[in-house]
This record gives sequence, structure tokens and C-alpha cells, in this order.
Amino acid sequence: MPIARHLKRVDPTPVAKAATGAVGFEPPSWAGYWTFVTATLILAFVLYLAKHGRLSVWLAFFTPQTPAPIANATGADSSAGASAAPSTNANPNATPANPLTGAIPSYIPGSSAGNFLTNFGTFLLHPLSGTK
Amino acid sequence: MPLAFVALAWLLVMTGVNGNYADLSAAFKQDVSGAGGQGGFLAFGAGVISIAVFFRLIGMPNAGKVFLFLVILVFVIENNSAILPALESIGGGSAAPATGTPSTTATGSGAPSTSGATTP
Repeated sequence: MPIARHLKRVDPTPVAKAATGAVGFEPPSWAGYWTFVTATLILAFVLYLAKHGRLSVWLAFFTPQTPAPIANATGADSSAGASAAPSTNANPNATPANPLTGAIPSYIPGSSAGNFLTNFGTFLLHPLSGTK
Repeated sequence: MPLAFVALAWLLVMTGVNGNYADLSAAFKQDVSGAGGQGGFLAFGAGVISIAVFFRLIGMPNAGKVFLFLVILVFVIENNSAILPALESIGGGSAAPATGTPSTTATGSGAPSTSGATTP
């Protein structure tokens, strides 16, 4: 059977990548070529922004900022003209002031430093809370 | 690439929380696309990607890495008077004024201003 001897399956042998016979270093999957290119692009964008003095502007986008103050009792935007925030953040569902005292209920976020129970109690005792 | 997606996702989430998507759009238009017909980072990034693709096609990725590193190094050395003070001011509270510095400080507080430099 000389033909069968030629058709015998030959297992691939590991290729030595060095003259010494040591197996070549295989980098991890995350250290590929395009990972390096992507990191270079991000670094280049950061340096580009730093060159033009725009880095602080973009860093501000990654930072959680203080929410804009909620609309007052009339529904108008209380932050209009005070900052660069858009003027469309007026809350149409803003709770009106107390018709008896004229005071803004303290459970409006940002208007009181009370804890949750205090604010929730004020909410229950508010004269408008029971109206349909 | 996953790192880029994480950064992009964080940027979008923070933009939604802060509600300053209009400022982000203006900053993107000014810095990436280029405002007023002046090339922004888009041309710079296209050049970097072109270099990477070229060295990948000729089968010399390691040479491409070295070349890209040299590109970044030359960019830093050429503009070190503007880049290094801006990078130093990230951690510190007092921002050193760089050329074309916008009105906002480097602390990142407050709404970002879109009245920065327009020259690329």
C-alpha cells in the first residue's frame, strides 16, 4: 500500500518562530492592532482639544452637574438668564404655592433640606393634596 | 474599541442627565466637524486611520504602531506650549490660560460654554 502511505494524515507541528526553537509570543486579544489605533485616536482627540483650549469644555460633558432649579410656582423658568441652560426646562407640572399662605411646599425638590419623612408629611398635609 | 464605547456611553448618559445636549452638539460641530469651513478633528482622525490602514495592508503593523506613536509625539512637541499647560490644569483648580482658552475653567463645573476658540 504505497498510496496509503502517502495519504497518511500528517499532524501539523508547531512552528518555532525563533532560531532557538522557542514558541513565539502571542499577544492577548485586547492588545491587538486596532486597539492601539483606537487608543491613539482617543489620545489624539484629547491632545487636539488641549491644544485649542477646549478640553475643559468636553470634560464638563463627562461630569454630572447640579440640576437646574425647578420652576417656581408660576411655572416660569426660574433659571432663565442666570445660566446657559436652555429655557425649555420649565416644569409644567410644578406644584403651585399654598393658596392660603402663598408658600411653596417644602417637598419640591431643592427647596428644602428636610428628610424624606418630613417632606412626605408635608405632602400629605398640603391642602391641595386631597383635591381631585 | 470597548473603551471607546464605554466613554461614548458615559458621555451620552451624562448628557441626558445634565440636559446639555445642545451644548454637546455645538461642541461636536465646532471641534470634530469643524466650524466655519475649518477642519476639525475629523481630518486629523482620518489621517491617523489612513496611516493605520496603510501599514496594516502592507503587513507591517508594528511599523504602523511606531509611526502613529511618532505622529502623536510630534504633535505634542510642536504644540507643547498649549497642550502641556492644559493637561496640567486638569487636576489643579487654577487653570493656566492657554491660547484660545474659552471662558470656562478647567474644573468642569457649570454648563459648558460654546464660545471657545474657532481656529483648529
